[in-house]
Amino acid sequence: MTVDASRMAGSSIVVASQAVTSSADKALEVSTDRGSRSLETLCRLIVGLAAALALFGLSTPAKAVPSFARQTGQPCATCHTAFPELTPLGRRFKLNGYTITGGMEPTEAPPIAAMVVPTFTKTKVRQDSPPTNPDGYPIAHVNDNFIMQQASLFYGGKIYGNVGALAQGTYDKASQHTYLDNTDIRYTDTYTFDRLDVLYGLDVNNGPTVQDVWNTTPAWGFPYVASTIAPAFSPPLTQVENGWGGRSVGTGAYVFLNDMLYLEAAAYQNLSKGELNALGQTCPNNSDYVQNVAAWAALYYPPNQPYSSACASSSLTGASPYWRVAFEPRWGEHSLMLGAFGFYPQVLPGRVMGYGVDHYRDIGWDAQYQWINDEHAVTLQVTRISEMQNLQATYAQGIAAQAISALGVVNVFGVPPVTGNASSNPVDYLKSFKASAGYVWNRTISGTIAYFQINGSPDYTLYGNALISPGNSAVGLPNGKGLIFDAAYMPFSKGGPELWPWANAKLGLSYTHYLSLYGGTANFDGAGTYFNGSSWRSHTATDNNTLFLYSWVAF
Amino acid sequence: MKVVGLGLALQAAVLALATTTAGLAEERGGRPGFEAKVEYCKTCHGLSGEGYRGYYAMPRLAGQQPKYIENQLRAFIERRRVNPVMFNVAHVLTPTTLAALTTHFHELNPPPLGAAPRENIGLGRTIFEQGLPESNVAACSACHGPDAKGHEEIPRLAGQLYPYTVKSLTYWSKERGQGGQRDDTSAIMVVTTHNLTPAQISAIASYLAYLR
Amino acid sequence: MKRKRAALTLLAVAALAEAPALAQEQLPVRNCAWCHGPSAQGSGAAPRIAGQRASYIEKELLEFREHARDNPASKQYMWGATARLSPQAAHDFAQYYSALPAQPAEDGDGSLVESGKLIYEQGVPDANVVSCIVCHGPRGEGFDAIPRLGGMSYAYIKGRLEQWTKGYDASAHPMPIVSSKLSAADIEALASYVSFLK
Repeated sequence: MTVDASRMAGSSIVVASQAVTSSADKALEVSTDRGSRSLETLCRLIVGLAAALALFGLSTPAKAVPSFARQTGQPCATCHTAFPELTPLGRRFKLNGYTITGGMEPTEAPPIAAMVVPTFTKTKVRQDSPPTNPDGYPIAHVNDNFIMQQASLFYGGKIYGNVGALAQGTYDKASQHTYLDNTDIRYTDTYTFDRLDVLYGLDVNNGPTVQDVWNTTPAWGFPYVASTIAPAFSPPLTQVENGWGGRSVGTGAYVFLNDMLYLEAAAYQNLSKGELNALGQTCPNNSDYVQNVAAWAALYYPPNQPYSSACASSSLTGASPYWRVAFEPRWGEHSLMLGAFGFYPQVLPGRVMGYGVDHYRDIGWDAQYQWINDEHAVTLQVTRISEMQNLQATYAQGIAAQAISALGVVNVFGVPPVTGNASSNPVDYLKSFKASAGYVWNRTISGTIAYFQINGSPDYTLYGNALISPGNSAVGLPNGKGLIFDAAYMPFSKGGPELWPWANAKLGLSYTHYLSLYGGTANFDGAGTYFNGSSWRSHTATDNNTLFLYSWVAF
Repeated sequence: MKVVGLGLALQAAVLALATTTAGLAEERGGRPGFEAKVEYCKTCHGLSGEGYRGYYAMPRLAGQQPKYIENQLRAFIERRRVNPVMFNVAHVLTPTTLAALTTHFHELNPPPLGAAPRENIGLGRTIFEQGLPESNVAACSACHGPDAKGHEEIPRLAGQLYPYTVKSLTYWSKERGQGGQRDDTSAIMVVTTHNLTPAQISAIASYLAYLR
Repeated sequence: MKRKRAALTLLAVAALAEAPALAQEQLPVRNCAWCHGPSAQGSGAAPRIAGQRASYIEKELLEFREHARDNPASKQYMWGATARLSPQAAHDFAQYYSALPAQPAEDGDGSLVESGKLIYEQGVPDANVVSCIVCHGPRGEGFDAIPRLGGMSYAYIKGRLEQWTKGYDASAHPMPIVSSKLSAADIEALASYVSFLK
């Protein structure tokens, strides 16, 4: 959902900010008095929210919320603690393929739902340049941004018989870009052998862990909503956490035995460039590649004739396996999940052929404890993902690039052949750790604290090095860690307002504090002090601290 | 009769209040004393004493002859009538409480529960009023009264629960008449019940179940 | 003789014809399995409904619908689940679930079983605690619309007994009166004993 969007946008921001030397960007900066503008945006946010709430009036008991609630007749609180975090019943609703009914008929309430997420983002220090979309156009201010971050339309519910789906289409107003977000279609059935109850399902989805039902896996993990335009720097993520959500198609099967043991196997395959474009997925372009193509096109195409710059993002080759195991015993009001998952993407870096394929091995361990009664809900989560990156193709491309540059090799068009990717090591490791503790009172007020940490092998090509190849890190490390604090108010989880009983809203405040980034705290990229448009400073981890207000309203 | 009964009830209540163990009541909740005991009986025997069909059928006590209730409670206590549950319930009753309870229930008069098959009510009425001379079964009304309301130690049958009446008539000897005491007239029913067929028992019980 | 045989045959046919035959495919049992577990043996806070008395299931479903049963869990989950339940569907669900085999939860405190059994069978006459056996039967089998208790989960029975002391679900006479006499220790013992009762 939104996390994917932020991660995708995040990677494009990282690419864009690396091209900060472009003078065009600087020229588009808006310079007004920051103080009055942030006050104005805050006022707009409050007025907007007040208007929305006034429209709703007093709440009515036990009426349902978007399409799942309409379909089952249950209030949000049955399946969610603080949406989208799931209760054991919510997990079982999803495992049953979204086909549980008991509420309104599809003719009365088609399985369509919508949500809007206006947000306000403020980083501790303004960004160096305005956030841009993948085509390089600025989409927001350098700080204090009030944007309609996301408007989504869902198909959520039973399709027919034992087939159900959750499909989401999202419009990001900031980048003015519509795309297919988290999508999951499944067929399920049950069978009982003597004392063994089997719930089995076949599933098609568009990203690893989109089909998972625990909030410890990346697609649906905390934080459930984050800014898509800030901060400029954030730690790198493992393959299963970032990069393939919405950009691949997975098919798999699972069984849930005796309401306790979950076993799943799936395979992820690539979406072609045409398919990606049709689904609205951006192709963040390798800037070297774009420059190469632009130079070639300038030579061979008449001026102003449109040409398509091929999407040069990485692609999956063949079928990349995925597996997931989870054991969730429940007793009374408690549940405990112990699980593991693995994802082995075979990646063609930059879609550049001829140098082989990168092999990644992601193994995750996760655990979640929940205590839920009708007043309190406590959720503790921990996830640890270890990634081995066999970067033989990336590494080979890097070596080739050095050779091409050293030998002055050019292709038939007179430009050096494309590689575009490189790494210092043929094999790297990356470990991602997340732990969170959340409490929800009466499904209405929630507070969560999370800690995240990334550690990895030093690689000066991938992460930069102040002496050899400037990049994000002065010391060539991806390491970063930080804390996320989140508080939210959900007035309608147990019943919606009279005017529209199925609505729900989450008004939240989130603060992310970076303890370190790219192996450092102050001047972590080694670029030293510079003038960022309003002050002299170096890139410091805490400069990226983000205050994020969101008003997540669902219909 | 009624005034004397009321006076007795009041006396019983005062005595019961004085003698009830306060400690138990505090621990377990519920008020001490006579009222609590009445409520206790009514939990199983119906809120107005009309009887209740659980796994076992708890008989109607409303309008029952006080002497009869007293006899039966004593029979339970002395194990002349075998019923583990009623033994437990009865053996903690003080004599004054016991007497007060009988008066209380005698004065209740809810409508009968009914809930009996209706096919053979006519036959049941015939047997009740005329007996079965060929089976050596006396007319019930001769002792129990034409309106089945009983007298002294002879119990009221009107409005009694169908399954309870059936069970009683079928298994009379198993549960009653064990001791042959002078006040226990249950032995008198042995011959009668022995001579009734199941169909006849069902008919009588159906008739009585709807009798006001 | 012929008439008797004919009558018997007619009775047999009538009996067979009356047997509720709503196939599993037609009843949306997955809506119940969602919370009550795949074999309806209970899951989390939702009780076992497999093997429960049909009249009781039917009565409770209609009480949820009428909002007569108002303890918090019922209000949160069952009111919504039964809002659109027709009386015929309630009857069909009841017939279906009452026929399923039931496993005892056996999740109570084993050391309290003896004292629980004592209260179950004899009550506590000194404290006006009625015995459970008279309505619920010697093995917790229940009768008609009086529920089967045998093997129900400790947490569920304990919760129900406590809810009645708090004034919820007053229409479940005589349970509120019964519960009001029980001490906390009694409830623990009873719930433990019942969870082992087969």
